[in-house]
Amino acid sequence: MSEPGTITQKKLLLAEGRDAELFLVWLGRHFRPKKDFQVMDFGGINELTNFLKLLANDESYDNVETIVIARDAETDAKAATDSIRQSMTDAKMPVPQKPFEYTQNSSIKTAFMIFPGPKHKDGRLEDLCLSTVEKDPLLKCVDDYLECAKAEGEQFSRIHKNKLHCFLAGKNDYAGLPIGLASRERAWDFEHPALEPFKRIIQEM
Amino acid sequence: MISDVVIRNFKCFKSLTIPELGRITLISGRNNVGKTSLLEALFLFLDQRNPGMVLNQYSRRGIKQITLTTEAIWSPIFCDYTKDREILVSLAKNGKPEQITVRFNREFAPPPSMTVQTEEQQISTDEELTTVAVEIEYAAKSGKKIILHHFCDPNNQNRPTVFTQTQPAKIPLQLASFLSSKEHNPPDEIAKQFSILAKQDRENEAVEFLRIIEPRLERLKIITEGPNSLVHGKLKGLTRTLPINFMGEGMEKLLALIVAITHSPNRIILLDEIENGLHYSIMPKIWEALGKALRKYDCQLITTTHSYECLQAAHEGLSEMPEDFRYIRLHRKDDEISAKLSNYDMIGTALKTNREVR
Repeated sequence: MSEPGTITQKKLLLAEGRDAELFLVWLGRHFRPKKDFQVMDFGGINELTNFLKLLANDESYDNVETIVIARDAETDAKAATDSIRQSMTDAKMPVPQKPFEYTQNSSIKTAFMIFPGPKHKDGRLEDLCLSTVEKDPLLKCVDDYLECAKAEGEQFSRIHKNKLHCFLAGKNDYAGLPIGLASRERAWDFEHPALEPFKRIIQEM
Repeated sequence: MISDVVIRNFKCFKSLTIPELGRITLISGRNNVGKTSLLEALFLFLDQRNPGMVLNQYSRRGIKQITLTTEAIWSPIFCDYTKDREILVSLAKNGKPEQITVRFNREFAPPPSMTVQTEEQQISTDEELTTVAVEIEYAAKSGKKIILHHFCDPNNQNRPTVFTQTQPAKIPLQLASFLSSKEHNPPDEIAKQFSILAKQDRENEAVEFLRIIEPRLERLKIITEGPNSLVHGKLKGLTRTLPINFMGEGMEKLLALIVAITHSPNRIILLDEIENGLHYSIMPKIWEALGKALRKYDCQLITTTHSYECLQAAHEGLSEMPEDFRYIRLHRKDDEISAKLSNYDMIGTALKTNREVR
């Protein structure tokens, strides 16, 4: 029986927060049906350096072949890239020059991925998820609804979340689900081209 | 304060390096990975002048009698019982390197006019004694070496005694205490240390510490009955005092710990399984009070645990002194044991993300 909180696979996907963790679990299972990988939540971005150091202290770390880290671009994809690279440097891991490419040393291969994808200068996992359903006519209703709310004086500081949860609320099967569980229920189109860079990294783990 | 520890050929450790220890170091790891042995290796260094040091180790593990071949007294402390190897315990004490090397000396013959320190032990014997000794070579940064011999007296087979030959006083006295989890700490020794506090009118430091688990405690005092001295406590509402040992394992343990810290400064305290006998809910307060006392008296605590709750409590209780805390997890891979070090912030992340670090 595996112990919770320990390394159990040779290929690790590290996600920022529970939603991203579950999203990557289901996306990973879609692209790697043999499920030979493990997804871990590294907490917040401020915890990443310590989390990577803790991984290196794990009894099974010597068995790890691949580590892929995923986080949001938030307001600045370049700053997010710099932050991840710094954490990997501090943890004495091989550091890729840029997102969505692998590098490796004699014992381990590493990469990092920035949501919503390599072509975006900012954004989050929610933006990526919504981009996979961009042709869904419900999105027009979502935009209309949020415009209406704004006209009524509502101010949105995290519009990506409002939009995503409006979309899910408008679907019979997904209402009330957080992004991770919605991923399990296949609310998102995992074959959408927006996921192509993620697919490549996950398949090459 | 000790740090930069290297241990070779001691018990389960072929070679173990621990680059950092904190003022408070918590040691964890799976069963039989060497947590207590690590404490014993450090105490071997600190207690090197004591001819009974090895036998005391066995006693703390519950072995009160040894069927004696002379070599058998010392063989168990050598890795794989291999006596041809030398044990090395090297460390930095207050930044200055010191080390001991322990080896067998089969040729040793005690001079007839030697001065001996005796340490009586409960040992039975059914084999002929020879004068095999362990030779302890102490070296400080200056490079000057001092050699001690611990050996069994071959002339006293009725009551075998371990002696130390040469001049242990030349080796600096290391202030250290080993508090066992398997044995009750000697009440008379605790009383002796407490009396030092009492002479200095500082009993309340111990009282306040013990009130974390027993708020009814009003005061502590030493009561002598016959040849025995015991620390007694007076609880609110009771008409007489009670020996601390009758109040429970937690009280006894905390008393031993706090008097070890407060009765003389600059002490190194080695404590096996700190959480034993203590309810999880009071552990954060204990860690906080311990942290303050250790700083005040410039002492160092190195202790073991199996408990995640204990680790959580240490993180919570030491939030105002994070730089004092180190966490070491011992790993065994095949025959090699290694130490993985975490600091306060890393343990915070581990707790937040539910990483298994025990």
